[in-house]
Amino acid sequence: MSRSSASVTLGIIFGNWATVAGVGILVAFFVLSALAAWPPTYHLVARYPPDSLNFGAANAPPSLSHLFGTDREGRDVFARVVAALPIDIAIPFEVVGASVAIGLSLGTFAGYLGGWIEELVLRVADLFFAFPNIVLALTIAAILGSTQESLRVVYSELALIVVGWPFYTRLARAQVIMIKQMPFVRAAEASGLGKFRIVRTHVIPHLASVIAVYATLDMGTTLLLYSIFAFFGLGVAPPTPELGRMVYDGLSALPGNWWWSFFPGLVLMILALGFSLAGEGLRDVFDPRLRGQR
Amino acid sequence: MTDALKVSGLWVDYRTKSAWASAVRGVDLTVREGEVVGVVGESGSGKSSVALAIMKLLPANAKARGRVEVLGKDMVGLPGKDAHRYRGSGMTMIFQEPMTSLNPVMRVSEQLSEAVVSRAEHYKLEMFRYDSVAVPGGPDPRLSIPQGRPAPPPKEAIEALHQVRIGDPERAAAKYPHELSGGERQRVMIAMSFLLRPRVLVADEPTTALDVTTQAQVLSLLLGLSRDEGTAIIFVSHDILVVGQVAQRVAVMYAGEIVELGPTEAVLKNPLHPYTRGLIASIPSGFKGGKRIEQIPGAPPDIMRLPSGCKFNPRCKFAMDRCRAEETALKELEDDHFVACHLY
Amino acid sequence: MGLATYIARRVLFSFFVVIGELLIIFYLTNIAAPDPAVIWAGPESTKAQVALVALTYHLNSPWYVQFYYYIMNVFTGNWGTSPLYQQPVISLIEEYLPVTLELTIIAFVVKVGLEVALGVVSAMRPNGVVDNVIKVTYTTVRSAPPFLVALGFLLIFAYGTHTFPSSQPINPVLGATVPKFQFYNPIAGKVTGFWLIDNMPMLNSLLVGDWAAFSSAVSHAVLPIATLILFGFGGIVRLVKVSMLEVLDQDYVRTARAKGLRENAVILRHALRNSLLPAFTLMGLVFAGLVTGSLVVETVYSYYGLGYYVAQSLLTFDTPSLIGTLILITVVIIISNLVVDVGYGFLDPRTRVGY
Repeated sequence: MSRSSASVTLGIIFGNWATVAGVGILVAFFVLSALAAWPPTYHLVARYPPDSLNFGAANAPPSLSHLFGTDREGRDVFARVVAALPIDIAIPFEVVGASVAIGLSLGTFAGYLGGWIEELVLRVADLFFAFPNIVLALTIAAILGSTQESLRVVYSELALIVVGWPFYTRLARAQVIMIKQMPFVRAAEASGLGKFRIVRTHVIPHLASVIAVYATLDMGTTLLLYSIFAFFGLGVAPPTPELGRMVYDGLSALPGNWWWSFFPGLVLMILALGFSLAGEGLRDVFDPRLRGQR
Repeated sequence: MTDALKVSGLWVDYRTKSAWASAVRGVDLTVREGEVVGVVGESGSGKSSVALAIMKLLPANAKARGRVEVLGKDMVGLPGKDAHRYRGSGMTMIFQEPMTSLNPVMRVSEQLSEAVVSRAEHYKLEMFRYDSVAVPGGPDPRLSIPQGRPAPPPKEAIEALHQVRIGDPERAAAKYPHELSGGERQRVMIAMSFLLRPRVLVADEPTTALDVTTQAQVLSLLLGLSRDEGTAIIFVSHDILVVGQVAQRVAVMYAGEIVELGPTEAVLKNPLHPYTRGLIASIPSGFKGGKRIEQIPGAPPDIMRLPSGCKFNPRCKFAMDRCRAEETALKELEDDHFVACHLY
Repeated sequence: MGLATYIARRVLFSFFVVIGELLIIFYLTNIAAPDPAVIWAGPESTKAQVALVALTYHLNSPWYVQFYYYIMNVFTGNWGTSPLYQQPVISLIEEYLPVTLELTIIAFVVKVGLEVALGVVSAMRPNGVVDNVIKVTYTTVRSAPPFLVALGFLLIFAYGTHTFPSSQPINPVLGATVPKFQFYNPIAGKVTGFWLIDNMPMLNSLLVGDWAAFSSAVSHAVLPIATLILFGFGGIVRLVKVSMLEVLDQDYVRTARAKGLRENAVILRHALRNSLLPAFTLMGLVFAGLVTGSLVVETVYSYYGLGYYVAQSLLTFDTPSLIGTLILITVVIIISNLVVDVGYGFLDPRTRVGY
């Protein structure tokens, strides 16, 4: 990227307050969760450990010492939210990363090779599109996880990948079909470059920007979806805190101790907002056609 | 005859990323009832902007200044929400693209019926009825204002399709636009203007997308409208020959200005402006033998970067120092024949 | 290709979808699982229950025998017994499905109407005040996890202002006394009830004319419906806005204006229909989203419908219920997609040739 186009890109990113806010939210959360994940720096972000029971301070409403209040066992809700961040942020990356990896390789080769391979991949992807994918993923995760509590989170991620890959396969294939027609790929073919080499050096770099946009947007969606899995007990085994599960656990305390549910849910929302604002900002950069159509 | 359309000092500015650019720069033009005036120019000369400004249909990023009087009412100063009162039976437009100018999800009959309803409403408001002009045939539209959604195609719609020589009008009316050919669609557009019986008709390259035989038929249909109904027609085209066939007067536009204006005969036989001469010289006239086709050197200027002085000077073989320094203005050289050039 | 052929092909494809789903599930429950009987009997079951389940589902036979019974049972409506409720899954579905259908269909209609209207309004003045308010609202709302919205409504309108009840589809006292709607069924040749109708709390009480029960059912449904509307809110708004802006630039809209139509007629008769076409293709997806959202919404509001039933099955690992409801939801989604695709053909005459 030349200097001027880089500065144009930066101009678009910072010219739009929503994108700035989105990137800001994400950076803040990444820093926060990195600090929380590493024991020596944990105390920098939260005053209390996430799992220390203190029945004397149980059911305290939000205050200066307990920003988000305390739960039934006197655990600090803020500390538990902070401790949950590393997991809740890592999971969308893992799920979307794996879905992209599978979809990109299947879609690229299906699109590039064509013929019956393409047909087969497309039909299978169609089949998956016809499933009610979230309900299917929940069922898969529940069946797999019913007997092994410690593996539930892994199974939930697997289930999300199972329903996540077809989208990227289709996206990659459509893009490849388009790129294949472009003069420079034609020229590369004419000069006798091998198919895999063309895909690696010409097609994948072109795809990267498009995939990056959708993956960022998808990250926020996956975060919310996974929170539904955690909500239904298909996430990390207790007592490890997790935002979705904290909301579910807090429902039983309504209408009194609303802060058990409310703050974890609010944090999820802000994080998802960060992904969606940043993703739409990225889209404005890469796809000028859609600029300003938020 | 009265003036149906009077354009004076019309400017059209477009907002671009950095600045405003003028596509039309001070155009004056008058069209009388029953008259056909041609507007000729290359793409980018501002002729379509003039057409859209008359109709008050400029895109959102464009702004008109000056006066456009349609039947004595200024369109430029008119609030947008009132424009519909003057469009339709007051003035209407035939567009260049027959493929996209009809609504793809409505049957032809529905779209024609709307024109009938629109005219009936205008007549009800007593806006555009001229007793001096005979309204041929058909029942008084005021007696048959369809209520609500126009359902069966009124007889008039079928009649209009018949008038524009569409074979089997009943069947064509029941069709969707995508089931018709380009020529048929353009005829439907013309049938629509027949149904509206407008006082002013703006035709923007109505024949460009058609083949030659269809072109001739469409042109004669338009002429019929002006002759029988007294409709004032502005005929916009890049093709000076086509304009020559229909127009009584021709205006030649270059870079947003009228550079030559006069009776068709005079302009075609005795072009005064070097640009008009270039346009006529570039008409292929193979069968007449002899001269090679001449081209005007260079390209029309970018409206963002207009040359100083006469806008045509960089392409003009007669360019003098004065042409580069001084703007031009229309001068009447012969009877009704105007030109904007420092040569005269 | 005619419409009938098109539908036949779609039905055939749908059949493969269901079979494909059954294959995935069968592989997970009967082959991949270390102890299939425990999966089918539920984690809380006793040894004797597990043994009984192994016998009823033929779990000790080779996999192809298991598969035969598995498939046959699905298609004969023998969907097993829920370990949680100790009732046949099929009768639980009969009870719960209508409740959720009623809820989601109402939410669907209101949601689509509202979002389309907002999309049109924001297209009228892009980047105006209204457009920006709508933009900010839906960007925020669609990032909210569904349970957070439900929770917020619950805290404000149920526990705060006491405007609406906090749980259940209908006041249980009124619900117990409402008679089931009956009508003369020409197929059976006698007066009967119909499960799909008489299990819908609002429709049933409306049809039998029990106004107290009806108003109770409606007030119980307000918060769940409002939450469902906000679930994934804004997708249609954005699509309608973008396509409306595109359509307003089209030549045929200029033609309509040139005809002298009022701006309202131009937008409602010419622009709206065309700009709804892209949004219409999303309708199947929107409905599927609402069915998914009902899982969370019905759980938070203890609204006893299919979503609540699925959620309870998830929380207690009630496998037969999960599989039964999954198949059912798949069929519902397939039917809604088919309706959307056939409907599209009627909206856009250009595609009718292409069936």
